[in-house]
Amino acid sequence: MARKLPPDKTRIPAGSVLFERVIPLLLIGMAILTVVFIVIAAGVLLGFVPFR
Amino acid sequence: MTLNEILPFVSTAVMAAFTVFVLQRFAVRRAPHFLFWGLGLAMFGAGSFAEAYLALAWNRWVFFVWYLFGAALNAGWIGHGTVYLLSRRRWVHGLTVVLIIGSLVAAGLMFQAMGRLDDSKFVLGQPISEQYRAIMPAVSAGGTVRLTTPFFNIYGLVTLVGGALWSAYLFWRKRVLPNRVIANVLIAAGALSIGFASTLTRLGNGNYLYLGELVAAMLMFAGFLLAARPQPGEAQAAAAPAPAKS
Repeated sequence: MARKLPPDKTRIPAGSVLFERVIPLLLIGMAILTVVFIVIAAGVLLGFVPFR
Repeated sequence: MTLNEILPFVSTAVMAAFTVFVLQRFAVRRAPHFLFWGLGLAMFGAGSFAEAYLALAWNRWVFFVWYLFGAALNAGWIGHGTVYLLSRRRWVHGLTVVLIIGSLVAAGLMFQAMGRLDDSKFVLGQPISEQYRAIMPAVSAGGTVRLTTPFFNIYGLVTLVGGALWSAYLFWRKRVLPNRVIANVLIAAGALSIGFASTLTRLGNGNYLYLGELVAAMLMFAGFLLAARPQPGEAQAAAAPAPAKS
């Protein structure tokens, strides 16, 4: 009888909702947010974003 | 004490533990990215402590620490650690020289601004990040240090968040080391949360700044601990080629 192997923690599990759906969406969302922050910071530097 | 007075002290405690953890790793492994992360985190912690202090009382040298380390330099130094992690080429050493000279220039300009601070504008109980513009001189009146801040912050944002997102993407694409994928997502989310809270503050809503700082400190520390946790067979997995495209 084949012995059941423990899950391999060094590889991303296949069919995982976290790694197939959530992580890619988070990566894309955070990349967009980063660009927005850079534009705001550059806007402050150049004076076209009015800050208090 | 109100919640807004307690939160910066909690953030300071988290950052202190985080800094000690990272500098211990540097003492053992001697890798430059741990040194720059540790120094940047120490600056972040000093800034948090200064912010907590300034919520209770005024002191111009605490203000000096808050502005120079908390508002200006820390993001750039933490981000530079990520640059060292991702690349060890000669140009990174050149960038280190630029960062050090830039930081010294910012410190000199901050010293120059100290004589022109308007202490009478300080309002006890109001977050310092909401009132520092009234206390500091305008750029044209000796507050030139304010021009340097966006450069450090943009550099820190691009390198820290960009580096974490890029690393997470690489591990995710290779389908290896899920702990490193989640760890880098946590680090990026932590850095973005402080960016988000700071932006809200500068747009006139400072209610979430201290909470944002605490969330940032906790997320980044959690991410670092997760990334540092050894996994069985990690070295082989990290070297595994990306799966072939079908």
